[in-house]
Amino acid sequence: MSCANPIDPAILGDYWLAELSPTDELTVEEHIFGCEDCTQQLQSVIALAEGIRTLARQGNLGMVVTREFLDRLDREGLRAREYAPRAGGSVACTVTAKDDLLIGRLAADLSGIEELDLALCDPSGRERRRFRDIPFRAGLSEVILNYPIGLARQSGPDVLVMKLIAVTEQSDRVLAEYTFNHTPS
Amino acid sequence: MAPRIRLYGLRHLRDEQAAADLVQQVLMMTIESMRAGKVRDLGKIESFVLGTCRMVVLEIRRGGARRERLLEQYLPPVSAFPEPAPDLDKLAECLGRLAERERSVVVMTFYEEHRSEAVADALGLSNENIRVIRHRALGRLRKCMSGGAA
Repeated sequence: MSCANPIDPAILGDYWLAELSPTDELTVEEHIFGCEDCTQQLQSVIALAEGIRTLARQGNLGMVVTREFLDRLDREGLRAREYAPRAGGSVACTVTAKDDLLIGRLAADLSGIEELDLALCDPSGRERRRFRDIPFRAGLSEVILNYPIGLARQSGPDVLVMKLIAVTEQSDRVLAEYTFNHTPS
Repeated sequence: MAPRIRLYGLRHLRDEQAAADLVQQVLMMTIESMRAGKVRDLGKIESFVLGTCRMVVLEIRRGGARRERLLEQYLPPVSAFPEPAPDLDKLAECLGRLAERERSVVVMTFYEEHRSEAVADALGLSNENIRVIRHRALGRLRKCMSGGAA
């Protein structure tokens, strides 16, 4: 790196997302046009963004998403297999070669909840993974999980229990449980 | 200079082909200007090129006819300068190391190239919070991708 005054990659991210003020944008562009190093940094930020897009399209990112995000993927032609068991209920599920995304929709009353975790458990209750402090919008009544489809494809028959857990300083409180009975297609 | 023009085009036109066309057009205009003696100080060629980029993008947005004329005149395709693709397995691993909020914010932001307001609204967070989370996540991702801990 030979640039004496390199632009913070976070600022380059802001630039790429058109979130800088016109003055700051001008400053960044003038710098980039005279700086090979920062040009490469911007290229790497764009490459990272493109890599994230590719992974998201592959359906292998385990993460909480929004309805709007799924709608966008749907418009791009991706096929989502969705399961929405009721709270306390169970659902038989699978995944086929035609599916691009595997979605769990977990209905729950989230009113008054400040911090929310999502735990993926064995039927015995042992936690396999916990998504801590997941983002959710007040007023919505469901959490949407994009489950890594590659994991489901590799899995044999399995039972996965998802638990939405309200977290406070004092204790954890299970809001609802959802059982997914997976069978390979 | 061509990669920088392309990045400018990608940023402002959000289209690979339009960015490639911009490279072609701006380089041709720059060469024309140099031949005509309009670029007096070669030490400031970057500023000239940036100014030309701005002007052409403005014209494109206005649906200017000059772009079409130039593209018809100089149709041979420009070579692409694609960004080096990141190691997707490593990127998936690094994304997996982020906190849940960071992962949701960074994926939803960069997937849809959404501004903070849209992601903030979707996730029930403030604009400023989204920006802070995104900055932190981007830093951790880059560190992880370069071999450090996320």
